Amino acid sequence: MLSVVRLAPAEGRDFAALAHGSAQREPYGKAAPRTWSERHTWHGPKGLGGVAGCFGSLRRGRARDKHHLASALVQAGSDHTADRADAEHDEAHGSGEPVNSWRANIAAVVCAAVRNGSPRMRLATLLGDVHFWIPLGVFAAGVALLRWLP
Amino acid sequence: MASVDAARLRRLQALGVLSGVTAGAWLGAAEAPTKLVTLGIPPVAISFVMVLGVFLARWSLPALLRGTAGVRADLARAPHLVIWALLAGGLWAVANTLTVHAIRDVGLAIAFPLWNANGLLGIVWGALLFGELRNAGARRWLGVCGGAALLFAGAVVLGQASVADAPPAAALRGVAAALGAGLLWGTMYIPYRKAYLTGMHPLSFLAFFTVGELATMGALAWSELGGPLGVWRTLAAAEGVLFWLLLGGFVWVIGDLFQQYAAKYVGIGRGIPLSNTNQLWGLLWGVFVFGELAHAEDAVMARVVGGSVLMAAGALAIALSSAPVREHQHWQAAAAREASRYGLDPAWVQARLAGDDPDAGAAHRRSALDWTLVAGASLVFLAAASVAQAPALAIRLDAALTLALASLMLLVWCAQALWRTTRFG
Repeated sequence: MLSVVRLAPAEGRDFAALAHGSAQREPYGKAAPRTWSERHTWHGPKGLGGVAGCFGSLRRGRARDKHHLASALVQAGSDHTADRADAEHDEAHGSGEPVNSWRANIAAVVCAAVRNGSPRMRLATLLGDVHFWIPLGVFAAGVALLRWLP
Repeated sequence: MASVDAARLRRLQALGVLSGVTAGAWLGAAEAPTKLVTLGIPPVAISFVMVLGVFLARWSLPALLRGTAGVRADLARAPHLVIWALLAGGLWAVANTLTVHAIRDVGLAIAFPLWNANGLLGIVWGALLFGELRNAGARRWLGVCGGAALLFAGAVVLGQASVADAPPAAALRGVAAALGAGLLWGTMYIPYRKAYLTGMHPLSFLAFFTVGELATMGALAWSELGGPLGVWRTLAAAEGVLFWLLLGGFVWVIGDLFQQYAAKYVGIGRGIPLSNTNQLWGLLWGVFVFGELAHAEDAVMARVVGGSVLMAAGALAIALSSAPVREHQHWQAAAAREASRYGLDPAWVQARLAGDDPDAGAAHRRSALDWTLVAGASLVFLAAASVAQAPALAIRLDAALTLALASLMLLVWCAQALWRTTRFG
């Protein structure tokens, strides 16, 4: 049986679907991107400005998302509606609607790869791990020994 | 981290011991196909083709156990482990090439026990870096260290029996090469242990390990055989025996896979000495299938029997010294340290350490890419088999079948136990 969760009006959007489990939603009620192309679509300005903005977001980290989430978190109990938070967000960071810009989309993919890959690779951590230098040093010594042998 | 319950731990330890023994059998059997190659092929080329066989073998049947989806899932969780696996593959390739020099300069009798000391080095690294044997008690310390010492002594005796009359040509260089190979192989197990304390799946590790092996061996073959054309010409001249070398690589990768499980479930301090019993299996193949030592004197045969008994006693001592719960807590502390250092989910690492596979759903999907890889790798083996020449060496088929059957039975037993306990996790 479908159960409907009663929520404060300020939070009200289609929460019945959320309770039903048919949609995965962010705290502020916007459907989370589910497909690869949704995740890698640039939501900022078009054209070269979009490319620059995308790389700018890489430098700033996920400030855009943090801002959006923060807007949603302060809305409960105030007259701040989710729609208003969205509008404020769009004014500051561009429209929430996807734009058809292949350059910006490619840049978004590159940014996502760098953003996700870099911390996960944890290269700095690896290089700071003494366990890594033992086999690497032994490998170098082995290669040197091999070159020394006639 | 929550500790693994005692009954589960005992099962995992028994599984690790069984994997180590199976690894020894298959790593020893891998020598058999290479014995069929009697042509004057450069040792680097032999090693390169075997490594090519190892690489192709990983992407044949094992690709159906854990395909590209599973490897991708591991990669997404802990991409830094790829570097560890590549490094381990590079260490293996350099060590293997050093053994060629060692055998040439001091003979197998001296070289083999020297590089087999890697088991002792494994105990040192395991205890120093990963909390192995900590709080294990005097009896287990004695069992593991004494067992490894017995295996080493057995290796010395068997080595002397195998090649009693090999003249040392360039002693210093040969001893340096053999010790170097032991150092590299012993250190290679640091990446092994590191990977398993951080939750990597053995088949994912093996996938990248074979890439590291092939790349390093390819570079060595390139420089020694005079570039790609030189490599190609050498391989083309030896097309009749390529299959036997690829087959050796195929058998080796099965042994190495079980060695990975041994390193995962009993640690490197116990796992390496157990899999070092491959020397014993290699000798069994040599004596019974290829007729080595057929005209040996009684004293030599006594050494063979004595060395074999020593090795078997050493393996038994280690097998009976499994890690108690209080030692396993130190393993878990090492795993927690790794998870914290590399920002991994401790629950995921803990599950993998206990032989569970949290990504089982994703790992068991077979994609078109998997089937293509399996088909491609199998085709290369079939193509090599179609131009293979029958070995000129006389072999005793009944003994070969008996040993092959014994190895297969071990494989089935161990695979069944792995499936039941960990779903090959």
